[in-house]
Amino acid sequence: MTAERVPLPRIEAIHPFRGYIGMLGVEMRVWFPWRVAILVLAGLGIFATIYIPWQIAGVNQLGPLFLWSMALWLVVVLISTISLSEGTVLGDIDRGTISWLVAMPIGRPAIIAAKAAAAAFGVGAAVFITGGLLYPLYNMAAKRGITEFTVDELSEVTESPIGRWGTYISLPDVGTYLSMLFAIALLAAFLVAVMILLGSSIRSRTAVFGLGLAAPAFLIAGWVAARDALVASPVGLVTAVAEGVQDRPVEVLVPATATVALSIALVALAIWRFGRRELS
Amino acid sequence: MNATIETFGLAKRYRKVEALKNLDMTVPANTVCGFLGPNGAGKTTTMRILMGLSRPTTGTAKILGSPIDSDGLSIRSRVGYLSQDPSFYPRFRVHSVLRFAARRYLSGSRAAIDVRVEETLEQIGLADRAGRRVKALSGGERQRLGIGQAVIGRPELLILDEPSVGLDPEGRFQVLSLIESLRDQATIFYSSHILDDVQRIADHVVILDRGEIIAQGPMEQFLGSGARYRVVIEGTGGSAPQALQGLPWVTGVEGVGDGTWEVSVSNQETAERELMPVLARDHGAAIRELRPLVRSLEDIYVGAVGAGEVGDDR
Repeated sequence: MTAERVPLPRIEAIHPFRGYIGMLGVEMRVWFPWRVAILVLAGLGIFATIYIPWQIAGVNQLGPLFLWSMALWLVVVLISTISLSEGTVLGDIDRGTISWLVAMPIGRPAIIAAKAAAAAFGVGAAVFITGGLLYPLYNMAAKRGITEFTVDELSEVTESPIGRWGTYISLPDVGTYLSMLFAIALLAAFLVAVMILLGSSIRSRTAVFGLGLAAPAFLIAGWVAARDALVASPVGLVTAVAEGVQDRPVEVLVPATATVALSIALVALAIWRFGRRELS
Repeated sequence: MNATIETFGLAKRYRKVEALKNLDMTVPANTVCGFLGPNGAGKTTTMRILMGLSRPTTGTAKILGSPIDSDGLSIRSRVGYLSQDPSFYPRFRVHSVLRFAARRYLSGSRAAIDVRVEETLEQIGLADRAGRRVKALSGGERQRLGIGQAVIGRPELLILDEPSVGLDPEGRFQVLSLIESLRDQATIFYSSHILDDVQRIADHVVILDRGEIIAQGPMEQFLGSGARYRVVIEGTGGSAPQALQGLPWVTGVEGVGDGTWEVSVSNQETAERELMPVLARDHGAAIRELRPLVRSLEDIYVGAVGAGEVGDDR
């Protein structure tokens, strides 16, 4: 040893969330910039569904495509969230890094809470970045009249989870648009909580991914079958997105509060499961 | 004797497999304790339970006087651990791994932590690899990094699972030298298959087989107990060999032909002092040769465990 010894006191604080800040820093580096960039690029790719036919193929009736793009974006955000957060817990277990982390004085609750917070923040940021980039593009499209069309023209797309549109469609104002983005971000964060719970409870990544895919399917099914009864749930956020895209008032407070509470409960359950888990 | 690790009836069952059976083990403070056993004996399982990565089916353990089931986090702040196959975030650089680990154990300014990181890099011989990504390290370098992150918090106990496995002779030598250099700073509990290494640096030994402890104790006592001597006596030796069997410190006398006898003793010190006078003075034997049969840890290990034990490590 050549360097001089430095008197560094040992950290004495002992609580279940010890190491949370350090873990959050590590997990943020997992999501930023690359995973967030992937989510943003996937979202921007949706715009290509309008732009390419419009600019290259010379298609003029782009209203249905615009509405589909919104629906598709929501689905892409949710599926991408499932795909990217599938290995949030199991990736560390498979790689063996979890043994390194847990053998250090880091509370297991801190590891799960940091993973959940970083993933939720990452997907939320991606939604707002993508939404921010898309809004002026949609505005530009609206000014050219391509979002105006009749109910007849919409008949082919009314099966979309986005919902029932009026005779003419206009772009939502900024406030409504931000509420929609908030609803989409919260839905993605809810899925993160689902994936964290699955990853903390199940050994197989394939099973985690498969069960994760069932979550948005349940959301859509719940929205189709019982949206009025499920306002105080993540289904209410799907309703908010559907209303927002029709430029109608968006009610997000109740479903957002319920979704946040449910997500926290899922993460708490994940912490409990992970705390009892044998780590190989 | 102050114990750094104590286990009390520790047992672990994986469905139908009993990985550990009623383990009562003591690792004294300020020792280098070699943890030996064939593959599948339960060494890794024991270490993982001690580190809180796995839970015992029954029994408990104390580390540094604290029970592992209730004070796990407190214990881990005083213990450094190297797993059998150390794994870190592949995109981390060497100094990032050490800085991250240091911040989990020690409080201080960023500059002070960085000095500690530099110290550790020097200590593990990776100063010139500090900026390299973990995924670009060789196996030996990753192993040394694993030891570095284990020692960086200045632990009171180091638990090292096969620290020299998979290393070339030079890497093995470096790791052993590193462990030796740490012996004054912490109690070291390490598992190994390389018996020569253990004999060289350990002063306490625990041997595990099929989940059970079959021997444990200080190295000196270990090698000393059951010491054997070769005695070559002119002629038949008369009554001398038979007379030896009556002595309390002699555990066996075996004739191997041509006036040659192998004498097993329970107390090496007494044997060194008494064997020659008893044979020559008391029984008039003409001794042509009297020499200790040097026993190695390998002799004891093979005798205890049996040669050729193989299986999956648990």
